[in-house]
Amino acid sequence: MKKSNLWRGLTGASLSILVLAALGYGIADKFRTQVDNAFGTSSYLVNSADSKYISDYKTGEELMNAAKALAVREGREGTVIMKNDNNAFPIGKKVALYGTASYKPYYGPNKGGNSDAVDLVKALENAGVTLDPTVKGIYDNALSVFTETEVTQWGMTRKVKSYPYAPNESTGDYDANGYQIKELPVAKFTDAEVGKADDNWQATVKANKNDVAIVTLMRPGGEGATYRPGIARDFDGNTLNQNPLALSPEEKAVVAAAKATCDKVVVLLNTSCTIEVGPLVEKGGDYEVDGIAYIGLPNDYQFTGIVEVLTGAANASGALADTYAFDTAKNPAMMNFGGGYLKDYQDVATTAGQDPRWPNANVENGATGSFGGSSYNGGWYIVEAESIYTGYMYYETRYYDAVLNRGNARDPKGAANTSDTVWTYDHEVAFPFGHGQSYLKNTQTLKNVSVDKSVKGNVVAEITIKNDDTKAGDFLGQLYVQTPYTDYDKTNLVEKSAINFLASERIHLEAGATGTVKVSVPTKYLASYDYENAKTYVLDGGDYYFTTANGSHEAVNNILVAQGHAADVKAYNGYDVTAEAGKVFKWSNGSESNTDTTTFSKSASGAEITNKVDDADINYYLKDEKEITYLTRNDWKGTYPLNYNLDENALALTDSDKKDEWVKILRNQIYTMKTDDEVKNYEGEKNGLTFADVNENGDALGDINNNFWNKLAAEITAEEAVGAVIHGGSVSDKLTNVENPVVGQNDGPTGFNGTNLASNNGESADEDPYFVDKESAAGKFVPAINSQTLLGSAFSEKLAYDWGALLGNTGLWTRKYEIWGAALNYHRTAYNGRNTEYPSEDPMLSNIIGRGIIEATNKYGIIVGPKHIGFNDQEHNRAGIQVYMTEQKVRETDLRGFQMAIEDAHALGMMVAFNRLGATNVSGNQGLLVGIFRNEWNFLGIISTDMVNNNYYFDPVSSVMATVTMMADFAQNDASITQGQGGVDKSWPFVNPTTIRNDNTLVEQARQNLKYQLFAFANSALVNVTTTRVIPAWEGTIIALTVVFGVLSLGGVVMIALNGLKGE
Amino acid sequence: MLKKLGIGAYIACPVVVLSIVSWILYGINVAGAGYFHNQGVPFVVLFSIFAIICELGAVAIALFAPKDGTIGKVCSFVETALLLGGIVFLMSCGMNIISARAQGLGYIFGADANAAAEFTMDDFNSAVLSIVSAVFYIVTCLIAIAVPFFGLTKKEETK
Repeated sequence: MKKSNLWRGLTGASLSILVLAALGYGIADKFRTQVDNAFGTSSYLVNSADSKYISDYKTGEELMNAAKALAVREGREGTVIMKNDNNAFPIGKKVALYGTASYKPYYGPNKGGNSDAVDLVKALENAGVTLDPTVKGIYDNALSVFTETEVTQWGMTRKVKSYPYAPNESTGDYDANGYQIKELPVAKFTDAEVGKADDNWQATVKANKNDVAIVTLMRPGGEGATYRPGIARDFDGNTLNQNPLALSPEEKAVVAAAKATCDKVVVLLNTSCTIEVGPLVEKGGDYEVDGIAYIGLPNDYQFTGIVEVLTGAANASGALADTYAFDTAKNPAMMNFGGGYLKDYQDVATTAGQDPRWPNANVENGATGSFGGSSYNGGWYIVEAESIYTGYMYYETRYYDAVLNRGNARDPKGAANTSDTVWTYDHEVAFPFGHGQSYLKNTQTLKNVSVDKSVKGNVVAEITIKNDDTKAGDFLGQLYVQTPYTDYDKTNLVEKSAINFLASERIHLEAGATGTVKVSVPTKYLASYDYENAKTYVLDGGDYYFTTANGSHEAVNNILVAQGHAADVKAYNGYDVTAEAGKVFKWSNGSESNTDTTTFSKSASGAEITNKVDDADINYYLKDEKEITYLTRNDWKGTYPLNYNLDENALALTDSDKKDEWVKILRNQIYTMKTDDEVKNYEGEKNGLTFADVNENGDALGDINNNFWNKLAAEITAEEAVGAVIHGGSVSDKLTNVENPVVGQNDGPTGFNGTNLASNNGESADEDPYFVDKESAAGKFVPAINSQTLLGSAFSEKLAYDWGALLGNTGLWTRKYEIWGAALNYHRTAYNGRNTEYPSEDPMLSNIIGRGIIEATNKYGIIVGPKHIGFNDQEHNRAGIQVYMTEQKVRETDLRGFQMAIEDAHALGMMVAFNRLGATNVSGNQGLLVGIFRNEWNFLGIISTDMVNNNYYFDPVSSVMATVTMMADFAQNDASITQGQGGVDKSWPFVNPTTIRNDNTLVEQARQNLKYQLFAFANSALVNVTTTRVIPAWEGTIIALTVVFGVLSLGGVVMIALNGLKGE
Repeated sequence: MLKKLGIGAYIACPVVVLSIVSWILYGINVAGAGYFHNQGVPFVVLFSIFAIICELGAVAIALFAPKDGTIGKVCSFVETALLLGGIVFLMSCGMNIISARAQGLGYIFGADANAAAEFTMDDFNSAVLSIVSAVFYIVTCLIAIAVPFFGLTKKEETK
């Protein structure tokens, strides 16, 4: 081989490795956290000094034990005894355990996964319960069966194991074929390949004289999961014309088998999506059981607490966070669920040249799921025509009006039972919201209620609880209110629930003891939002009825009796309802004609409260003659929602006299970049300040209006300001002039998932107070042990606070300072699979839980961002679905669940939802994010989008103008807008140095957004630590490769030149 | 003229073909249905063209340019530069595709069961095609590395 060819070849090889290493470095840097996790390395060394935020725990072991104890407590406080006939609960010591979910429960997403986790079987056995060996053997055998199939995909063949008799944990994405309910058929019990029981198994079980049979029924959920109502599949895959939340034939057969083999049968409901329990409560029915308990979605240790309640070691004190309806698909909200296309949605699509942002692209307008797509995602919509009437607010309000025969409430329109001629509450609701039986007798009275009618005032109530039993235990006190429904409300379409949950708390009482539960909530929650006339919150004149009750239905009945309607109640129901004395407190706010439109027209921060999202209402866009009707309790029959996705009712862009505006918003062009607004300060001012100077500038730390922040933000270069927001990534970006900390984001509602306590150890135990031996049990412990569902059914702000404190402590120990950790959306329906992460159908219950969590985490300096605010009412087509509703519904349903966490507890983070509110992507919705969150609620922290998955749906400049501080993706430290071809942004080429240079408004807003981010970081435990960037082994290797092959390439070029000159 | 061709030229021909195939695969990935529809990667088109020009240019110079004198030396330098440039451009294309697609691939292949249910077969195919096109670029680059080891003409092969 010629020498010159050898040099040429070697140089080529060297250059290729140089390019590989150099560009590979870029990729690895972009995904630094993931690469570090993969190699077990760390790119940052952190050291604690003079900590402002300090853990409560001295050792990792202490923290681990506290976490486990809290999880057990969640199980204990969150378990709800719904039905208890024949003293079925507490259960005895001999149990026949039926149902595949008893052996393989559904836990929901992001379970801790610790090796010492306790499942139901283990918890029962730990409690001294003996499980019937025949029944256990059947399920153990069936669940151990697996098949192995060879799957060939893209030319590769691999073996996949599947367990045909395990419960189906995949809800599906609004699957047109329906969710498959895979309960083990009783016929399989004796199958020689499955249950392997002999033919006399029932006689054997019966002869064992078990005290009780337990049957666990489950329904899964999760991210991307949405149930389709009206269709399901049985074990064999046959179509069932029933709701997926109704019992399948196999589930009923298991209940029947349990009844045939045991004198008492109880059912455990393992779900966050309410199961239809009609057959289980039908008097004398084939499947009627003695007891039903709700156990939510436990995590690693909750089963121990659940079993404490089931066995009576602890009193039952949980309450239902959702209404259990007989037919989950028959209510006003379900009239518009799932959604459909606007008739002419394709008119939104553009061809190359039509959309100036995308001059070379044809952009479609189909619906896509959560991820991906090359579409504006602006075709799919639902109209939440039910107004505020979801969950108990529907059932109990209609009940109240039906009793009093008002507003056509008795009309059968919308009745679950199609043969009903009168809408009958008892045919609609199996178990109401807030219901939960106590083993221990007790008496509750409402001792006192005070109402401070000022903008920052509170309603403070004292509930006296007397333990009338001979054992000590926990008790739950709940406070409800009925606000007046006045002529003003009827005229101006201000909707009122006949009952509102306000607050609750629990207390431990010794036998015979009496105690007081004191609860407090801001008075503003007595006001209602009038979007039509006053365009602000109004506090009605008239009588307000407060009551303590075991659930919403008892609360309404208490008030009906107190109002003198006992006879009407009996006439409607056909039976008497009694109300004990001392349960109702009436507070009079003058005459009903005196509507107070001023007191709550300003927020606690002094901001004016008025309509901010008029365009969330579909009528904003529709011509007068096309306007739709929202449900009002003034006429249940006449305004019961239509399904606006049926062909005959479907909406079209041509129904609008604002079509151009509508289309523009659907194309996600909420903000149009200016071309004549030259940036005055492109390179950033030289003010000589850095992030670390915050403590040297007076009260800057606690006051975002201190000029320090503006001066600091002004130092950020224009390109970095815009780039840091639109490529927020999963780690905040380094801002050159500011020297800010780099902060990673974490997930999720169960805690820091996938993180053990030894993560991010400092260099040594001597230098790091939060050092945990990684080989110890504590070092391996993953503290993601929360159960959001059991937190909901515990009805306890104290428990939420304690969970928040634990979350805060784990943040300190793992040096993770930011987490999307408090999921607080309400359950609009039972069909949203994401209910797994959300506590309740009632936004006020979520509201007090949110306040508890955030107050605690702030104490430890951990930034916890509630998510997914707001209106993530279904996962199906969540990336782009248009969700239309009145502004009253906006404010009094989903947003209310987040309000106290932000406005009162001062959360410093939030993650907004994927969907649109109205036609506007929530991530760019200025009315919502600026008008309500920033201005009215005085939110001063980080706003992150959900994962940016489609550059056409997420418009970066609109998000900047909506004060988003970081658009989320997997990217790391990346504040550049010049990495695309021609020096433009790689994701959004219309964002580049040339265009932003002509939009000072945009650049200044980006700086302001980063000011919020820096303020949040400064008020977190980040100030505990100093961070030193180090080079992990993988990075050193890449750098070395780059240098070595750079030198070799250069050398090769020189040798080629020399050889060439020599004439070889 | 073919008699003048060295082993390097015979390797360069499939490199050119594979470069075009890689480019086509990338083009189908961007134009076709699925997750990466309409999602072009910066510089890939430009670099693909450059790479093909480099390979063809090097062969052309080897075949037609003078071999002697100062002009011959300059042509030899240009030929070398083009061969090396082709390698750099091909590797850059492959790595740029990986860089741009990594996040989307993470969504698709890293999603849990429920989230994965949201992806269509088009999305999966689009993801696989992304990987295939990147791999094609890199494999083409590796083959292209062999070209300069051998002369493009027989004269270059021997001392």
